[in-house]
Amino acid sequence: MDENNTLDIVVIKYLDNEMSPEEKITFEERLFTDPLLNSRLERFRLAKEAVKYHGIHQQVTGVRAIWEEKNAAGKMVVTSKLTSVRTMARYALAAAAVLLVFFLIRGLSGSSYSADNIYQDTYIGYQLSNPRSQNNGLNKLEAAYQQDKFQEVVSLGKQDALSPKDQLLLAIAFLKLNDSPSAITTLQALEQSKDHTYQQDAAFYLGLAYLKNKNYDKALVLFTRINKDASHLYHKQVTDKTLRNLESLL
Amino acid sequence: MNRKQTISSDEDLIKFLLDPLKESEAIMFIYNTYFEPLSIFITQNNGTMADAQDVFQDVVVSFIHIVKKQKYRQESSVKTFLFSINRNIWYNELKRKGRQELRETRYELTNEQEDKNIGTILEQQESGHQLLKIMDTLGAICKKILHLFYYENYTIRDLLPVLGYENEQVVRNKKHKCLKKLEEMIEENKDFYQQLKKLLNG
Repeated sequence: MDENNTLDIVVIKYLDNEMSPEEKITFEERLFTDPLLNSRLERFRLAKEAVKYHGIHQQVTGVRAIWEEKNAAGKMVVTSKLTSVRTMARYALAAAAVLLVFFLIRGLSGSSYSADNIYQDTYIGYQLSNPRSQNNGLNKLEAAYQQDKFQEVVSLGKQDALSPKDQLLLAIAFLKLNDSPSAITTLQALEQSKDHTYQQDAAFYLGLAYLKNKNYDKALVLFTRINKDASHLYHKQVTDKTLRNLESLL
Repeated sequence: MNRKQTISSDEDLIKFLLDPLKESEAIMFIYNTYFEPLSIFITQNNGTMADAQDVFQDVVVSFIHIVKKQKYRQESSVKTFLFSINRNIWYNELKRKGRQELRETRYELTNEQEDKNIGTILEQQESGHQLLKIMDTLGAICKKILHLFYYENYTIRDLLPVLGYENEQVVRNKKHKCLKKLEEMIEENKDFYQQLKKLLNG
């Protein structure tokens, strides 16, 4: 049993490309003469491929969900057009004029609606409930966050056990310091937490972190959920316009 | 200055599919461009719109899998290739449901070189679905670890804050156990193991 386990550890190390060049050569030489090793490698390789296949499926499912929502919205627009063609026609010229001005302004400013713009429009700071003058009820990390000392928040966040609230503040500090990958991993951990108190906050800031990290498709999935859920804490923050602008980045 | 790249040819589409940052855009392009014409075939052949959507999802998954395995040689256009997969998956589905009189012409393939791939897809459709069921019984944490590590290319260090474990060794052990668990689940059924081998290794 132990022997098998040791063999599996070696096989997985090879599969994960974590061997030194010397270890790799030795392993590959052994493959020529060891059928058991070959068989274990084939089985783990298949398991790894299975995960990748499942990953493709997940990704397609995610895009399909967005596409279906967009499609449903498109159909509503078509229906509405059919029932009110005359009314629409009356407004067409005015709309065209507004659009012309809009595109002219955009053209003159030389920039399209960028990820930064969307980020700035959508971002809202997380406020701790204690008044600014009272630091008594706050722990060190919260106090540092309260005073916008984000580097200090990150340093304090290196301690082992962080409460969900501290994790949220730490993630926001990462965002403030433009370290979106660390914000993403911290918020993903918070989303997985058994304590659901900050789950909606985590989803919102994770969407922002994805946006900052140029993972627009992932940001769109999260923001679409928030936009569709009227009871979500950040529902008002994510408007239809936010989604449209985000889609234009895809 | 930072001009957005767009997909204007089959070559672009393949490039985008192979780029993790552009993959979703490529999938969205496939949906926007090919769903409608492919769905018409399904709805004109005893299928509903829901059937068309489910079949199309299978078509897209199969196509991306073939592309990532470097087995799509572009001997027929993406459009033709997708149409062939779509048609054959649907005929197979009708046959399975018993709603189709057997037609010898059901595998009307358009390019001999691609026939093999499409024929393989049909044979392996079922094992793909079975694999997804197995992944669903693996457990949320294991699924997440394996997905992030092997599909999203996270490192063990990246996984640490995501999972909230004490150190990298704990994450490594957990990943090891999860992969082993999956390997055992796949290996349990010898027939399925062989089918899966065909699906994943081609």
